[in-house]
Amino acid sequence: MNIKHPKIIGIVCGAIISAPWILFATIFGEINHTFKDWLAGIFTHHWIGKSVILIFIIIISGFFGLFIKKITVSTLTFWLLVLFWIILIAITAIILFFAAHTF
Amino acid sequence: MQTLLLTHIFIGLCGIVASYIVLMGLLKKEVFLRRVKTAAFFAFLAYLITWITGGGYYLNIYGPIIKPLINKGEYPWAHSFFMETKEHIFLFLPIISFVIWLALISSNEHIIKNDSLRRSIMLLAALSFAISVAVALFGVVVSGAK
Amino acid sequence: MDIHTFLIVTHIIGAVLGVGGTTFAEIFYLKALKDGVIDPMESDWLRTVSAVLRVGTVIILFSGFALVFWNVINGNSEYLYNTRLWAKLSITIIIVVNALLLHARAIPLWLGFSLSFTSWYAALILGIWSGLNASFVQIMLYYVGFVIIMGFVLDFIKKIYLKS
Repeated sequence: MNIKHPKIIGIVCGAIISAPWILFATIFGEINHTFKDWLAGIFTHHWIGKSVILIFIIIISGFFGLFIKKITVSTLTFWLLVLFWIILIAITAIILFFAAHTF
Repeated sequence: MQTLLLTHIFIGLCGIVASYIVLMGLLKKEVFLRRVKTAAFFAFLAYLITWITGGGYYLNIYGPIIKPLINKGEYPWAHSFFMETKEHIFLFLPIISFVIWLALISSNEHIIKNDSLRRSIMLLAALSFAISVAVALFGVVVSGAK
Repeated sequence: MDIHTFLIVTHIIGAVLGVGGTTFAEIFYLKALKDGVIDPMESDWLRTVSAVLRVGTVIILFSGFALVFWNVINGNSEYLYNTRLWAKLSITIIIVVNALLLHARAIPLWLGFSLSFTSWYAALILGIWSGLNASFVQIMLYYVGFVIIMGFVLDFIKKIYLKS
């Protein structure tokens, strides 16, 4: 069984890639202020930088998704589950990091 | 600037309600696909607006004025844990809600017939709801700290 | 009527719909159980009451956060660290998650309804009891105790009613 709009897989993969980006940018930015300052230097604020690069990842990945002709229901299900787990892990890591950093 | 914060809070709450409707809609035995798709779209739109208004408020008011007050006050952890966590885990919300909406419009009747697909979207909807509630509560903690 | 009074009134209306809704959900559920079968009309009543509960929850949510915002902009930020407020927020989350679990059939109906019933009344009492001076943990422990006691009370009422 195939999905009606297979091109969405590009966005799903972009979302999967963006999770480690947010995790890396968050933790590395707190550890290495040069990186945070570099983001702020280009985008006026490090948080804007993280947001813009995040959107950029989604757009680029979405663009590559345009070349996908078909995907099955089970393929989409698989990648959605991967997305769920990666985001859950990333969020847990961010919470634990700031908890350790603060308390 | 208070309008920006009020918009951020109000639209954020709309996002939470929309995420709840998506999750609840997928949990029901009979899925009303149109309602769930509409709610998913509104959740995504709400989180986009919240992203922009929250960012605007953070850059113009919170960062320069409120953050130094919190850091010098009785509850510096309100910024170093709650605000820092909030501003970073929030970034996942627009992405997840966008994926949920796209998955719903692409899958159509497959969601009703295929339990695994429905479960995977449901898990994402539950995650999005949980993050949105956490982010709202963290906002209350931060607002009370100054 | 000033904004603060308007928000309080709206919040109370939400509480009335929620508490009233949960009370009638419990009553209709009991009546439906009398013959052991929930027929279409009874199911429709329960769905209607469920809708009223949801409307009440949304009103409580928006008016509650509006009150939080009102306190912040009026320099009353310390209100946001009030233990009663956090207990009410926690109980509201329990109400919402309970509704999800009920829909997912992840908890038995009797438990879901009892939890909803007790939580709404607990939130109502906390809202009214402005003189309450207790820590968050104390309030939540009393809440858990209240849930357990009400579970037994509702079960007792159910047994009496179904036997009659």
